[in-house]
Amino acid sequence: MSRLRRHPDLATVALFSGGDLGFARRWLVKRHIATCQRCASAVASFVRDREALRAETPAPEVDFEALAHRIRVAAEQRGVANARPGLPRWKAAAAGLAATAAIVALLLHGGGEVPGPPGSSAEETAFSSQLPVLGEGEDAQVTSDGTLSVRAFHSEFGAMTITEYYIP
Amino acid sequence: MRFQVRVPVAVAVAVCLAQQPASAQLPWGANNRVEVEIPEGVPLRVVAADFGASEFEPRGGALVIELAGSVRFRHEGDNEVRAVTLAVRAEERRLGGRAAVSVPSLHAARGQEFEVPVNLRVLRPLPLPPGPAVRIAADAVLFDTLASTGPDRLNSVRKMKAREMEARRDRAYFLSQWRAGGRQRLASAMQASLRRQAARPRLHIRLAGAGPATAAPPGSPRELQIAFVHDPEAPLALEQGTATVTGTVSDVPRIVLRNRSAVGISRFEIGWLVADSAGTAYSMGSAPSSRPQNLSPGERVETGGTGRFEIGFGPDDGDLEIDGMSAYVRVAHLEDGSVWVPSRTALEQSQLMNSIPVSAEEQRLSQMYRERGPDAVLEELRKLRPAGDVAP
Repeated sequence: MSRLRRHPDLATVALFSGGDLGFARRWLVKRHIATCQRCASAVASFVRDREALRAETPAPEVDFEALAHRIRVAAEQRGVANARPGLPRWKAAAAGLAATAAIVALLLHGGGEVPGPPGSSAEETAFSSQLPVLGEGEDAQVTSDGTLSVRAFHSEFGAMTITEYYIP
Repeated sequence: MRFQVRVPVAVAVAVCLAQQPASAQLPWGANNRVEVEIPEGVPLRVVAADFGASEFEPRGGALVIELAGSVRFRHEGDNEVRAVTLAVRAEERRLGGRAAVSVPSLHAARGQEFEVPVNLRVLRPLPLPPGPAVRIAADAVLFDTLASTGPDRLNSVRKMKAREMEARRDRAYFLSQWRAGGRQRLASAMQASLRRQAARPRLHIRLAGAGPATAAPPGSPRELQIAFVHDPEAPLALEQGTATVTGTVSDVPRIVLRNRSAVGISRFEIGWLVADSAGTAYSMGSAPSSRPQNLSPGERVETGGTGRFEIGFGPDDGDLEIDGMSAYVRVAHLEDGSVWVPSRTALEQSQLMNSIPVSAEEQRLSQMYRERGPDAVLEELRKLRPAGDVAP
């Protein structure tokens, strides 16, 4: 399914409304809401709420300790990413671009080059080859049952999920 | 030219189902329904289910279902729930038609509620027969006592038990860090974990079908010898292993191993790593094995299966090939009911810690640290500490 046609989640819509998304995600969401009345309404609602809050409440105090914690963690992670051996920054950027192009090509064309089991239709094989669905920074691991498993952390619940995709 | 039509999906639905005993169905349109079932004997009740953000998109002869939502359960048993696995079925016999979602490290006592997020893609052929498009059912529940219940059709119990043992090991480690140096030491350990997770090399693995290929992958098949990472404490000795590799597609490895413990082993998992031609080691997960695994003391067995996996090293590493493989004992379920997992010391000494993913629990705690700080992690460690352990 095209990313442009999938509804962004509520957090993304809220960030978009406040102008807090990066360039690429902002562009994607902007393209989406141009054709999606439901998400456009959600954006408008966030903008209205923000304006109303701004008019009625004083600026909140900033929790500098929490902010400093987040910055320290982010800086630590960035330091590691930049220190990875054998991957100059330009190469990492090129790799990112190539990965994005590959993902876009996969999404547009179905990525059906992986042979499927006998009896499966070409359509099913094409879509199944898009499994598992991976988020940013996630990877799949093979299980002892031959399935592929993917982990995800859910901030709102403080919980991990492990999703396994089966072959028949 | 292919036309794609989106099936209209109802807006978010949150249904209060507290009064329904075993099964609950979301009132969507004719076929776009998700049914949540609780099998007999499972002490959970569905309180609410919301899959309103899901999308159903027909493509060619199949329906692609982007399931997005969660199920809220109330625990009605005596022992605290530690983990749950839900089976998600769209079509049993087709590729992409079946999945499972597990949530480890829960702490739900009797009467408490907890939520299981379900976000995944499944597929089923069109036209849809009458009935729900997706069925979600509790496959197994693991309690804090390591007892379990549920039909366990997906072998969920042993996976949840293994994760719980890894979680206990890692929670004990982080608690020891707190006891040794307080908040600062715990924060340093969490930072070290996040650094390791960020630096771990990753593969792109895809299922390449279980049966014979309809089109051969490029390159001629070659046999790779598997190297072993030895752990003197492991109840299994890995003795010999090979895998057939064709280009970037690997068959399931065949590994000969021996039970060197004094106790029978009912199930085991062998960790599987591949190395590229630049010498970087990547975790594949576990080597699949479809063969019987009951091993008496001293007994030898060869693992194996029919699966095939396509391995991608990344778009900037197009000239890299699978150059080596290694394996280690990851989990052993002993017949006396205990579950063996490698110690943190063994993982550190063997350098495996830098190549394999951290445990699900370490990942959860470190993400919690990143978002909420060390106090939130400490609170979690307090909640999940073993019975009789002194609170930090």
